[in-house]
Amino acid sequence: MLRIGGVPLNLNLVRFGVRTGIGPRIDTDATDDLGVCEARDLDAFQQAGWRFSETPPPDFHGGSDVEIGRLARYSEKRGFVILTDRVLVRLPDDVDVRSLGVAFGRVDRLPFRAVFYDAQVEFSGADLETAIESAIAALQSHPGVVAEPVLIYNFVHRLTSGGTVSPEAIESQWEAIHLRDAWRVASTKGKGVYAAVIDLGFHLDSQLAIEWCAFVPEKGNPSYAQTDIQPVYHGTLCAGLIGARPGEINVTGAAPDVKLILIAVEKVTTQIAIANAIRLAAVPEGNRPGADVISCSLAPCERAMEVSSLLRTAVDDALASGRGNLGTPQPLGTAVFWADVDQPIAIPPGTIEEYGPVVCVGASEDDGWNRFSGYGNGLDFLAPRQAIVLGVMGSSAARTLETGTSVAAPQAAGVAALVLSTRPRMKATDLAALIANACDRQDARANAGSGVLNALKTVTDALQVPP
Amino acid sequence: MKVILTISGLSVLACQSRNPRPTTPDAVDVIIPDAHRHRPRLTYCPEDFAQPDKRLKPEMVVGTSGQRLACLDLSFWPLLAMTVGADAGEFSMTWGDPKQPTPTYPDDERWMNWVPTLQELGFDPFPMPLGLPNGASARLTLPKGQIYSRNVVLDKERNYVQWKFPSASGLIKSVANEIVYTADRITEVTIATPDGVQVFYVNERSTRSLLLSISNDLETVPSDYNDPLQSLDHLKHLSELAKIHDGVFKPPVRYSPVRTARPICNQALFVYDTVSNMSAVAPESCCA
Repeated sequence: MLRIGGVPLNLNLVRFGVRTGIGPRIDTDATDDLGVCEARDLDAFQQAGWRFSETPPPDFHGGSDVEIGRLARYSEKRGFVILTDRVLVRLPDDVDVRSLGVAFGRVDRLPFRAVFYDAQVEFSGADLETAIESAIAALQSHPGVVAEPVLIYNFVHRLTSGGTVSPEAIESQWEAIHLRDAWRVASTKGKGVYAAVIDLGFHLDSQLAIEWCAFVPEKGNPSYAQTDIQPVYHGTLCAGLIGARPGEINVTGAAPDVKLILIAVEKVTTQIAIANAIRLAAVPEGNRPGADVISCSLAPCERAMEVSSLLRTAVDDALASGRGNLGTPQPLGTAVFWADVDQPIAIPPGTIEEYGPVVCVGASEDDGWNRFSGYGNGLDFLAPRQAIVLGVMGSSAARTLETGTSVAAPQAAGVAALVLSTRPRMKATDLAALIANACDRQDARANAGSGVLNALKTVTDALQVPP
Repeated sequence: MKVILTISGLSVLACQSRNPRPTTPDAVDVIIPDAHRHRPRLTYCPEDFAQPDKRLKPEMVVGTSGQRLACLDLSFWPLLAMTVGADAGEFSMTWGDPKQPTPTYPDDERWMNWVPTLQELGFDPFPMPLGLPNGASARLTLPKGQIYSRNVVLDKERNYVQWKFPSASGLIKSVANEIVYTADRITEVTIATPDGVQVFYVNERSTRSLLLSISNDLETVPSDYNDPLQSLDHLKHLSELAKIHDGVFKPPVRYSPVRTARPICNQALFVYDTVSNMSAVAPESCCA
């Protein structure tokens, strides 16, 4: 296996690459089987003259002027790299790189260190990885020689994502909040519950059980046409964390049996648009069922402003009028879960995150601290800041690792859905209190609100409540 | 010409040396961890280098004096090396008394004492490869030159703030906000990828100072930027590169009775002996 600094690369080679201009450019429609991928993922490579194909191009061999490589998913970063046909070599003083018994084409001494060389490995056939691995092994059999593959990087998604997902990570996906045990105790995974997600858009994928969806403009009436829903990764990951069903990829949401109500708002996420979305989710028009829980991981674009009376009233109305169709004397209310500010700051006074009736969810670290999300008045509790999410592009699914409070809030909403599945007549206010009371308490310095979400304790406590 | 490269933001200065307090390390690299919401950027004056390569698309940003600056996101150029033409001698770093908690004289601010080591912060050494370390978003290999710390953090009363390092037996000392690399009497500065793409190049005979910076700061200014800071929690992001020794990060906490003016996003020092065996030099014992 190829390594850098002793760390295995685990490259997932997906395409052959040539830098001569031959072959078609990859457009976004053709990248489905590359996993979560957008045009910008590959744009920089293609601007640099790289072209990719599924089968080896005719001149795919080493030793020519053609620069060749393999497009690969990088194991530790989300994004792509190109494994080139070159190796980086550090030699002891006075050793000639061509005396080491490895067939090289071009060899360049790097200008910044006299003993560093960039050497092109000569080989034939299509197995570039094996050729590079063999060359490195041969080079490193000489004392004092260190060699590594040369990668061309493109960390275009570096800012918003974590890394690739190992089978172990998938297996332990929900361990932090003890969700698998909660499923077992609850004997349900959210059946009969409607969970609404408010975001900028969604991939309407088969792994999401969608009850209905709508596009809510800032002005004008909502549209229920699926064609008006833009495919937006952020919304898909939030929806998937609540209700992704088992599918091609074995990563489910926290409550995979819920039915989802997906509400897309305009990209300019004004408080008016979000307020309209909350109203629509909780008390919809027509005969569409209303949401039992609502999750929103958006920041109103007027974040600096205090929460408007319109948005505040929409949340109040959801709590007062949501779930009014269950035969109870009073509506039971729809709880609204909101992602905390994604910065380690005191939650600004007067904002929607601080507004009491909103369940504000921060993001916890492994050790329970919340160094990367807000704290102070308004923070109700934390949920893990990192999770594997369903990423969807076109018709194919992939999984990836995401971080932030946007990940935390849907997990809490998913656990709320589990509770309502077992206790459908629980009031929204009682639901929020139940989840907060069941949290794992943290050191007061952790600024963790009531602590870290614990699905098992939440469901266990819920079952103590008379149905 | 003199080149002055400011290293700011969350980064690790990796020095190859057998001396835990190296004065003339064999090699020095700036390693930038791939931290949440941070961006590795190279900034320079666009008058100094109008890039011929169309793939280089630095943003045009404007300094507070109205000066136009080119700001290159290193997403596609994470592996870089800087050269300064003629051999600039040796690397040079200055160290002071390890027991001294704060600078006494202005020149003391240049001591590398004020850059905490990974070990002082409670991190294990990480493998130093030839290329991009695991968990890094960028690496800049520096040529021979002088390296010093700058902008030791002050409080509003202009006193040096002291920090207590719980992972270093309660070590107490000041912390710098930046590291500076400089080389003098040079005629050429190149920053290029290993395969020769120049992301910066200047060749001239002059007496002026050429200013550059490599940074890894937050994408946006946090709203509490000017609020007082109690602990350097931010350094936990170094866990992208290095393992936390006992699993729980214990950030340096403010020791001075006064408060800092604003949060800092600063650097750490990592001294390793060789690339091949990846072992770090044991830190000197430090005391408060």
